Amino acid sequence: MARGQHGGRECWRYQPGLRLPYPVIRLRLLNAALEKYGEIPLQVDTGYEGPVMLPRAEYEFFMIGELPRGLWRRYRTITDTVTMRTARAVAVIGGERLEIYVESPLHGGGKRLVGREVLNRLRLLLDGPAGETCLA
Amino acid sequence: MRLVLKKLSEEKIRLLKAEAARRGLSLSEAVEEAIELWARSPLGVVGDEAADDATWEAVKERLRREARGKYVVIAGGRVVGVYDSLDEAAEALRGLRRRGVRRAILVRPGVDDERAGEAEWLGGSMEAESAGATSPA
Repeated sequence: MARGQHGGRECWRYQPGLRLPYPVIRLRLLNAALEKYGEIPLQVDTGYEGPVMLPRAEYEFFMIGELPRGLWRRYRTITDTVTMRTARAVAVIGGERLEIYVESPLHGGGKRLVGREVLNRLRLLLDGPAGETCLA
Repeated sequence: MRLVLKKLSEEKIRLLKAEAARRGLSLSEAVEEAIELWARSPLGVVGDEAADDATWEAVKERLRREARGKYVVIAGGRVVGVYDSLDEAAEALRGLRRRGVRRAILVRPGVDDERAGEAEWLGGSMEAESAGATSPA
C-alpha cells in the first residue's frame, strides 16, 4: 500500500475497486488487553454508521474485550438487518490513540471497513483526482 | 464409563437422538463428539459466553448506578473487577489471557449502553458473507 507525507500530512493511495478506486485509511489496532494486532488498511465507508468492521477471523483477536450481547448494535441495510458482535479496541492514527469499537457480523464473514463513528473523529481529505486520502 | 444426567430438556434429547441417528452414531459417540467440538471451539466455550452475558444482565442496573463510566471486566460468569482506566482493565485482561481465556466482557456501564440499539449501514449487504481477510502489515 503506497503511503506518503505531503506537507506534513499522512496520505494513503486509493485502492483498486471493481470499476473505480476507493479511499482507504490505515489504522494501527490493539485489542482491549492492549495487545498489538498490527496496522491494516480499511475501506472508507461513509454509509456505515459504525466504527471499524473486520472479517470474523480477524475479529476473534478482539474478543478478549467484547461488549455483552445485549449491547451489540443492529444495522439496517438495503436488504436486511445485520447484528454485529462488538468489542472494545484502541486505534492509533497520526500519533493519536483513540478508544474505539470493532464489529463483525454475528452471521457472515464481514469485511474491513471504517465507518462514521471513527471517520467523524478525524480530519480527512479525500483527494479523488490525486487518488489519495490524507490526514489533515 | 456410565453417566446419568437428570433434568435435560426433552427437546434437546430429541435433537441429540435425531442428529446421532442421521450421522449413524450411538448416543455415547454423539455426546463425545459434541464435547470434543465444544471444548475445541475457536470461539471459546459457548457456556462461558452465555454465563458472562447473564452476569452482565444480572448486575447492569447496579453497575450503571455505582460504576458509571468505569471499566468492568466479566469472565467465567463473574465480575472480575471494576477499573478506573482502560490501562488497568487491560492488565486484568492480559492476566485472564495468560490463564487461557479467549473471550471476556469489557463494558463501561452507562457509556456503552448509549450507543447500543439500531444504526444504519447504507448499501450494506450480504456481500459481507464472502469478503475475505488478509494479514495485518
